[in-house]
Amino acid sequence: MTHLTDEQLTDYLSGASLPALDDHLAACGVCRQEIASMRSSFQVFHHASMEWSERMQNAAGSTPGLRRAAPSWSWAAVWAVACVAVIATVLLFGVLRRPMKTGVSSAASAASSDSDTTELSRDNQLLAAIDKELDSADLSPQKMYGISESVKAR
Amino acid sequence: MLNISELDDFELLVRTHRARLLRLVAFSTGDQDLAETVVQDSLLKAYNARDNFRGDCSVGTWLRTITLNVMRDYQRRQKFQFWKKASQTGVSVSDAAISLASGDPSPETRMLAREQVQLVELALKSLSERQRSVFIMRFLDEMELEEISVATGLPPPTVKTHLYRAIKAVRFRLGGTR
Repeated sequence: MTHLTDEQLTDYLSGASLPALDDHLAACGVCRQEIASMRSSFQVFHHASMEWSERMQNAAGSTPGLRRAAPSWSWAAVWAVACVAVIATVLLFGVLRRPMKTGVSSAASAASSDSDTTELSRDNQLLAAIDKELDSADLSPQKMYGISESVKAR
Repeated sequence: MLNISELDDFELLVRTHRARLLRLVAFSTGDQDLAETVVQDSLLKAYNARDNFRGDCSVGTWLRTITLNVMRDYQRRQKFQFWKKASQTGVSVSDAAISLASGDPSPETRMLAREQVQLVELALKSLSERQRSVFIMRFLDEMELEEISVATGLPPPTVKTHLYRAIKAVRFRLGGTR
């Protein structure tokens, strides 16, 4: 008995259902065995590789796919801390300067009092603006990946 | 299967497809690290471009198209580092085969499972990357030839040729009975 050619075996394994192939396989134990052996190997490999892949997925953490979110978080945090540090330095500098003015003449003191009030007011405005900016900062994974909430809620 | 509206749920998209995409890239390239990066970028890309999904193929096929394109882009950029890196983070599933068969009391069955996995792995290594991708999509992801054709952008006869070569290599390794 002639057996299925490599092409025919491939066709069959690839999912082709041809009456001629089915007829041959019904009668030929050797070809049937060949097909069964191949399928069994594919099946074992399928399960083993899927288990491997799922293990990799679990190892990646509870939110797989967001692994590289960390750098975005870090940069946002670094910028926030840097801004706060700069503001704190400016304020500290302002506070340290103030006691030095107390020893100056009363006229100069009156003039500098207006200047201090203006400066304080400006500092307060700046701090309020920073607070607002930090409060409105959205650091969710969706935002970090450039996924807007409005689109997400579609 | 996911529908278009379910593409809006990023977490679900990741949960449903990540493992299979990871397997496709890992076993096509032989590089686990590259696979994780490629799959992550692909899922994000798919999510951001979900409005472009017209539903003329399954979400899985569409995701594979994106993933294979991203994979090729990465490889173009890392051409000279790639093979060096692949040898350091090589993929092997032989151990998984042992744990799979561990429910069976027979040591012979466990050994046979491991041997089969190793032989298929060896056969896959002898193939070109494209042949490996086609083989994985057909026999591991159980996609139809037409779906593989859509995902790879190759005409169906070319897909069939790749598949034919892949099967021939696996049969050779497994020592066909005829």
